[in-house]
Order: sequence, then C-alpha cells, then structure tokens
Amino acid sequence: MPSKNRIYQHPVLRNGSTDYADGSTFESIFSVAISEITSKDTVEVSYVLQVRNMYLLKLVENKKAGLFLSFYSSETLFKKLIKIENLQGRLQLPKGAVLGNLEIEPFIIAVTSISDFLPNGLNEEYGAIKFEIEAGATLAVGEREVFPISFSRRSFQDLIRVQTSMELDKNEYEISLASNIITINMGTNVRQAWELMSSDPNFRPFLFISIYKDTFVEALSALVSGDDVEEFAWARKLKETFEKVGLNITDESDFTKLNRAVLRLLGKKGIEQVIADVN
Amino acid sequence: MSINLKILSEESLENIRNIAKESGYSALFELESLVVEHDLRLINSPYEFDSSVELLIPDSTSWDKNFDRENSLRIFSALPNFLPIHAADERLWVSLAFGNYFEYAKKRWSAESTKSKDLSQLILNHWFCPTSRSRWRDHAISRLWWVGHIANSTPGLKSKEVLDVLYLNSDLINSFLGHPRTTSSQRVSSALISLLHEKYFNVKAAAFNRDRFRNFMHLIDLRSGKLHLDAISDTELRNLLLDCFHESHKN
Repeated sequence: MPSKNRIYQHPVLRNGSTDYADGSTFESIFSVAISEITSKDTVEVSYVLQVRNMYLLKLVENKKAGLFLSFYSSETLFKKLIKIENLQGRLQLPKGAVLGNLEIEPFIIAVTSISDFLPNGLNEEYGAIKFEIEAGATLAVGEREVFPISFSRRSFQDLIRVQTSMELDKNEYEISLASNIITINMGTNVRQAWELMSSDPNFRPFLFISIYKDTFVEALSALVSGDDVEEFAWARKLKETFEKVGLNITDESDFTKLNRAVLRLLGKKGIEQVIADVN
Repeated sequence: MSINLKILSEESLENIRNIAKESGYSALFELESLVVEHDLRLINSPYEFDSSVELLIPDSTSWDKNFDRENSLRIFSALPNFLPIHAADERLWVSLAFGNYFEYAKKRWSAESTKSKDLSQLILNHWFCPTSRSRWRDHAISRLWWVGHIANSTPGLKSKEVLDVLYLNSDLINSFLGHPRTTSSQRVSSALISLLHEKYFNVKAAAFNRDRFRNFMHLIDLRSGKLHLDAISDTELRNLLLDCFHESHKN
C-alpha cells in the first residue's frame, strides 16, 4: 500500500517520487505471525529492508540517521516507533498490544541535525542546494503495509447471520454492516424463502446469485468507499478472501467492477452449481 | 472475588443490537430479563472479573458529578490481567453494560427523550461499541476502562496526575483521544500529559480553554507531520510541545 502523500521540504527517498533520479530505492518485506513459542497474544514481525543509496546508508552507519519501523494499531490505540540496528531481523510487539489492522511502515530518520544534506542521485532540479535537516525528519520512507491480526480463526460464513424483521415489508431484505457480523434483516416472505432454499441443495445455489451476491456487493462497496468499516471482522475476512483469489479490492472502485468481482468469487457455488445440477 | 465472566455469544449480541434498533423500549432491560425474554445465550469468557467492584452511581450527568474519574479506576481494577486486545471484544462490554453495571449505565446515560427512536440511538451509542472509537469515546463502561488503562500505563507519571489532566474537562479528553496517531504513542502522551499537568495544575500558568486546546493538538499534529516525535530526544520533544502550547495559548 502506498504511504500517505506527505509533503517534505527536503528530498525524501520513497516510491512514486522523483526526488531521486539514479534508481535509488528503499524496499521492505515484512511477515507477521502470532507467537507460538514465547507468549500467546504476542505478535512477531520479521523484516528485510533494502536501501539502495550509499549516502543514506553512510548516514545510518555514522549514527546521524537510523532505521526505524513504525507500528500502529487503531483498535488497541497502540503506536510505536522502533529503532532497528540491522536491515534484517525479527522483533516482538508487547503482549496483547495489537489487533485488527496492524500498519507497518519503514523509515530512515535523522537522529541528529544534519547540515549540508546533499545525497547522491538527486534529481538535477535540486541543483547543488544543500539542506538543513532537523533531528526527527524523514529521509526515506518505504511502503506502508497493513496486516490483519486476529487471534481467533473464523470462516466467512460465521460472519453472516440472518434475522427476521417485522419492520420490513414481507418481500424486502436489507443488509446491516455496522458490527463485526453482517446481519441480513429479512421480511417474513424472504425469511421463509431463505429457509426453504438453504435447506434444499437444488435451490441453495440460487442464494449465491441473489441474496449472498447482494450482501457481498454491498459489503465490498462499503469497504472500498471508506465507510469506517475496515476494522470489523467481516471486512478483514472479506479482504483476505478476495486477496486469496488475487483480487485487490481497493482497485475496484465502481459498482460494475465490484459486481463482476463478486460474480467471479461466487461463481463456483452459484452459476456453476446450477449448471452442474441441471446436467 | 474474581470469576471468569460469562458474556453474550456473538449471535446473542447481534440479537440484542437488532432489538435495540427496532425498539429502544424493548431493549432497555437488565441482562437476565433479556436472556429469558429473547432466548439469548451466555458463554464462558477468558476474562477475569471482580464482581465485587461496584461503580458509583452518578447524581447527575454533569461533568463534575458524574464520578467518571473514580469509576475509571474501579472498572480498571475489576478486570485484572486484561489487555488492550481484550478491550476490543464488544461482547464483554455489552454484557457488562446490560449486566453488572446496568443501573450505572442507565443513570449516567439517562434518556432525555421519550421517543423510541431516540432511546434506540442512545442505547446503540452507549450500550454497544462496534468500533474502536465507540469503545474509547461512547460506551458506558469501556470508555472508563480505556482512561483507567492510560492512567495506569503512561510511563513516568502517576495515575493521579494522568487523571487530573484527562478528567479536567470533557473537551480535553475527547480532543486528546481524538488524535490517536499522536496520543497512542505512550512516550508522546506521557510528555504531553506531563506538560499539561505542569501548566494547568503545578504552576497554574494557564486555564483550560476548549479552542486553545484544540489549536494546541492541531499544532502538534502539524509538527508531527514534519518530524517523528518518537525519534527525537526527550528535551527536543518537550521543547516542541512547549512551543505548540505557547503558540496556542498566547493572547
């Protein structure tokens, strides 16, 4: 995930910026796991960083700058900037500190003030300008990655429930996305049809091309449009499910694309099953 | 006496939420009644809970008589070995708000309107907490725990000092927690609370003012966009916060 667009008053090595023009890069690979050895409820992070710029590496070596990893978990109000000594390693976050979306972002940060900052490989537009850098300033920033952290394994099915509503017309249904579980509120006829269809293998596939499809599309739309639903369990699972089939849902911004993505995902249990049953 | 608390199952939690959405009057009952009436299920939880801890029932919802400060310490002590990841479990907070602390919640968040729709909204806001923001800001019980947790985990400060500052004014606490990318760092929040305690209590150099405080937090946000506050020295951090304070509080 691209790091947030920030404006700096000095050159910063980062993706998508033309501050450096010589192929300098700052890349990272992270893997996140729940510790099975030391203490449960503890998250372990492995990292490999690669810095392709000699000037910045020299600043790190001379202790004028440092390599840092920033961690943020909004669900648990946890934020920590950890200084690391090597480009590769593993660390543990405090027990019970993170849950939901864990954001990790690598940085090279000035730890002292640096006068005459003039790295190699700068875009020639900078000319020979030398920059005064304050301690704490960003010199390089890598890609921000978000990892879903969950201590209980749940299937997507566990995250959808249905409920009869007397408020709705008998032939209506509506989808509520405002908690960890998606609730499909159904008018009495819809609920009756649901029970009949879900208990009969011949009719079950039709749920996947109707109510389930609507539910997935509505859930995806909420997720993509930034409706403050990212931290819900269904949202994390849905994202994970789509990523498993190689679909980055943040790229699917319009309804037609979302609809097609859902049709592809549910095709096996819906349309293909209908054809298989007929044949 | 600590027991392992029984909490609503996920399914039952959603049932009550739905009941509350449809009619506030049908939902505002103690957990025991709701369980019987709506065939809800309670399950064992891993959370230790000291059921002897009672919350002070407020006489009024006014800021100086709501007992939030004392109750935040009480709820924190009622949940030993409790971690921030546990505080994300909505089932627990809903179970406590309808269960052990129902009378407290009803009094602290009493209804001002008799319309069922308004009552529904009140219950959804203060008895339920599906998002992290609702857990630290709105939920009758979990908001108290979060402050208790911050008071007991801010390095270098006594819980009394932290509570002095956070409970000085309702705007202060909302503004403070409303900047989670700044205040979630324990090091930054410690420096920040320490400075505020000094300014508001020790030297009484300033009185709390909502607009000035909001401006103060805004200035810190601006500065932290430019510098990593967690990467600078303690002295630099304090000076930066002082600058922001003086700038926001100058006449």
